[in-house]
Amino acid sequence: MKKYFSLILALATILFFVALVGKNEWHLHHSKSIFIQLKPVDPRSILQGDYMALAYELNLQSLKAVAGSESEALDQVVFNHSSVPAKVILDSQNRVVRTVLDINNSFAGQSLILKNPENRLQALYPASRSFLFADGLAQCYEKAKYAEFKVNQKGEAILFDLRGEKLQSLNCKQQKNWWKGTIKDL
Amino acid sequence: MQLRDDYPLRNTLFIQHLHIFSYVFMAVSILYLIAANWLMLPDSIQLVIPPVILLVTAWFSIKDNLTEGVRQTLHSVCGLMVGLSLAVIGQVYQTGADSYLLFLIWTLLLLPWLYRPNIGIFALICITSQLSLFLFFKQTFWLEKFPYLYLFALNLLSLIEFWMCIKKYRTLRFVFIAWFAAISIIGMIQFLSNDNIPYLISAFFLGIIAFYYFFKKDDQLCASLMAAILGVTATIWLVDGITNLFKDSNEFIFLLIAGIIFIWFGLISYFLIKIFRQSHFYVIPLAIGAWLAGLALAAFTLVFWETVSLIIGVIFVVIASVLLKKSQHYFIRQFAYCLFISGQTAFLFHLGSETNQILWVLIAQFIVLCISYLLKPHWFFILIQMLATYGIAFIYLLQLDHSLWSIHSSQTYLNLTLLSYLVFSLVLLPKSESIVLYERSILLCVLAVILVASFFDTFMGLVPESSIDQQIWILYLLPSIWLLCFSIFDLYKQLKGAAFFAFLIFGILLITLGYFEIFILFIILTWALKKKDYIVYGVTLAVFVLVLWQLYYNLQVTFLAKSASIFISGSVLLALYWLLQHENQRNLIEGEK
Repeated sequence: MKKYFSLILALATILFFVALVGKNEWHLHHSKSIFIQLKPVDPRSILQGDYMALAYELNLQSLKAVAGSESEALDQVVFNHSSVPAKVILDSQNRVVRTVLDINNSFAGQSLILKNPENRLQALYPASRSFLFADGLAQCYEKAKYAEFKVNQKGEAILFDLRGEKLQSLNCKQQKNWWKGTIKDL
Repeated sequence: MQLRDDYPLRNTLFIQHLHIFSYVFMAVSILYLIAANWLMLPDSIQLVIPPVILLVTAWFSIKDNLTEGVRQTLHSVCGLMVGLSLAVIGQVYQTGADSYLLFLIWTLLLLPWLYRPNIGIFALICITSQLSLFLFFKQTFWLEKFPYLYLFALNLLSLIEFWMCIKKYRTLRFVFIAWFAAISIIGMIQFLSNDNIPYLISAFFLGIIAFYYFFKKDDQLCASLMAAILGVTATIWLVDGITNLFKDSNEFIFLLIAGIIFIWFGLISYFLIKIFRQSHFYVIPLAIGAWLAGLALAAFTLVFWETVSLIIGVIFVVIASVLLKKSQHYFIRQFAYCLFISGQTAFLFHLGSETNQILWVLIAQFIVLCISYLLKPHWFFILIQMLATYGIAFIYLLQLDHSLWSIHSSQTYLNLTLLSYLVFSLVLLPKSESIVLYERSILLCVLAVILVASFFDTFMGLVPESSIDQQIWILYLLPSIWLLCFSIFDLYKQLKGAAFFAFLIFGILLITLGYFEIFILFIILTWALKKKDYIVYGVTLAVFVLVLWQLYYNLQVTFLAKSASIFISGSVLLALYWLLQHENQRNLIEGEK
């Protein structure tokens, strides 16, 4: 039995991964797409290669509306909270037009959990602040104007894709063949 | 004619290395291609690759005919694949999950793999658990809310891991000593900046426990190292106290600090001699103390005004030279080395600021290098001097062109290449008696230059090609001259016929591909294997890895071309292995006849 233990462990671990993948796939297939406008920058990391650092136009409400004073609201909602519950108001194309911090779950609308790694109101963001893509696709992804998130009912989001001005798919991956590799003039 | 075999290419060990390297090159070429196109692969393929490697490796590891070492390595690969699988899931589904969760899950999934003692898995668990702990406190803001709780958890977790290490993985105890040193020194710095007692306790807690354990087990080396580290931590405290005490004093405070450091580390060494009577490891705190005191003296020489510093620097160098000539006592020699370097730093620094010309500094450093050589010091001291000379020459060439990234930088690039090959030519020097003593220093210096050149190539590779086109022939000429000289002095005398030409073609191929440094690395490897010099051997292998890694980020060519060229190099290496093996066997048969 001890002889086969490593194989059993590997299989058990893979089963765990399958469950993780299944959970994420379920999320993708049973969630709503929302689109948040981008303020993109395009860095290059020595380890990650090309990626796009993302900043979002969340149109956050004034903090005074959350509590009596701005500092009180910051204390209640932002300071030392690793994630901040919010509600987003969408237009007819599911674009985010306004974001309301919603600690008491008192607003109607689509839930969206915002991450707060820097403990600052201005630095709140949903799911991810970077979008990874293959080397050589930077020019294509520069056209991105919206980020597409798949959000479930609890407000958990997955950054799914980047979209163009009219929410059209950019189809960047299809514009490049793998055997061409990195182009010279990156 | 006497056969020159400073770099024996027919050494059996070297031939084995060629065989291994041929497969490494081929594997690296495939790895490059997959890594470069990783994000172009469909998500499903990305998700499947790490678990498949995990399963295949685990399946291989259950075979009966494996040695324990191979099995441990395979299990460690499984451990890495567990982490890679998690990373790929996180990358494909960008949920923004907290990274501490990733490391926590990885740690938990690794734990069952310890059913067989496995040093690789244990080391991985130590890293992932510490990362998980730190990230948990950081990402939940507990680090700010409960800083002492983190301090307590850090010490407790480190202690538990240290306990496991000394029970089953004693080889890792040196890594733990380094880890405890980091905790100790950071703890002391934090204590001094905010006066909180828990940081002071943390600065000494693990160090004292580890020292007591090593003392009880009569592990003299580790106990001496631990004592030296505790000494360094206490020195930081002392220095802070002295500077607070004499706030209004002038630069002579550094002299006082140097004196106190001498006494303090002398006491630690005396204490070690008392408890380990037969040990010679008491020299470790002595050496560290000598160098720390030297740092204080260097600060003393640097804070004075220009001319005085120049004179003090020269006096220090003269005193150090006399000490090195006269004394063989370990402490005195370490102190003299340090005094020499601090005096030299002060002299060169102020010479530069007085004359405003790096050329003078370069000439002075070259003279210092010659003086150092005449003093017949330790090989490491000569290495430091060689690296300093190279560094100053490098800066001199850079400052010749004030606009580094402009059109003129192609000239700088060519100058730097010329400097690199000047250093590389040291490999070709005949191994006379005067050189043999410092062969290791020379080869380590060449390795350092290869590394710098490789990194610089990646950055200077951004220079537009048109500006360099007219002089590009120099980039081919310099390695060609090196290869020609090596062929005449060594290669031709060792190899005949097909093997000779195969090696020559390999060199020419690398020149054409633009990474001839790899050829020089192979030549250094032959020396390291012949002399069984594990320092040069280890550094050569490390430089090999770094050069290949650097090549990945060199964006001069497409990844497909890069991958193909490395694959071809691997194939040529395989052919070379086959030829040399064949020739060795033929010589053996002829010898028997």
